[in-house]
Amino acid sequence: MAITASGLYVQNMGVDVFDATQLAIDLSLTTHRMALFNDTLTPNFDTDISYAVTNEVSGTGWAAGGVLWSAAAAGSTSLAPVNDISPAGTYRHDLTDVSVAGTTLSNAMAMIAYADALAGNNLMYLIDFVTAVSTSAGTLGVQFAAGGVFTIDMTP
Amino acid sequence: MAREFEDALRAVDDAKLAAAQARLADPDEHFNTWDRQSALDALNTPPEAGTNNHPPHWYTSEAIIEATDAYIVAQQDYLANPGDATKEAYEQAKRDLSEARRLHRQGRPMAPVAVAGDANEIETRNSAIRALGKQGYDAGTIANLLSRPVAEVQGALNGLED
Repeated sequence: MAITASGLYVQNMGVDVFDATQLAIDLSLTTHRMALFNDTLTPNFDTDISYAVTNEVSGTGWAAGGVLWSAAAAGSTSLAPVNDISPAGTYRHDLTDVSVAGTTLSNAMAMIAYADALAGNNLMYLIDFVTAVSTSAGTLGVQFAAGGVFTIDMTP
Repeated sequence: MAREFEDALRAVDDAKLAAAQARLADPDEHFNTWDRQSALDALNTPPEAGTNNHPPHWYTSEAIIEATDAYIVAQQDYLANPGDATKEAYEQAKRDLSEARRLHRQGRPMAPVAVAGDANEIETRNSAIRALGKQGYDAGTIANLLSRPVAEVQGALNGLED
């Protein structure tokens, strides 16, 4: 029972976007939310569909349900999601680093991005912190890799 | 192509335009919440006194903020008036923002997360100390920020050129 890896939720981000379901995941929206979870969560990237409060980490400055992408960068400003090609043949999704000030939080092991604007509150991806993070009247910051939040090589 | 299917595709295009208009009016979207000055002010605010805090420039930069400002405008223009010209401006704004992020991330200090005493962790920590020193923070402040002994911070700072 633990978070062991980062990943995309396959049913939402792959199957239902591309098949007749035509799930309306738009990774350029800033109404998506980042929610924090403890290590009791056991994600199933193939079958998990919707955000749920179970095992969520919340506290001062980071309410249950998570923080809007439009307010999760420094100064309560936008993560400004960008979807582009980098390197050639590869889809890239990227955000400005998360930096939310004034938080008091205990043992956040992962951050989940989900589509709050969709009726299903569909899960999009999980970022494993590897080591649990706590704050006390401080900033919850997440530095993303230079290559982006995630990439998919479309021309392997 | 069947007439009915063509009509359905046209209806989809109309729905996309309506969705774009609704998105632009959504109070939670960054078109309506973006505050460039707030982002710049945050960049120049010292870290909070609590735990796990790092200077805001570890997470963003003035170049990223300015590129974000232009990106949001370009995205808004494209959604309001989709076409070749607004699409190209949107794509250019994406490239500019991505480049600003790339440059920032290549040079920024990383939060030290490895096991204490590990060589890579020490180098990462020393890099962070030197980066903060270049930003004008004194040894005592850096020691407090990174929860490290002042002597260790001073040692790393001694390698800095005047």
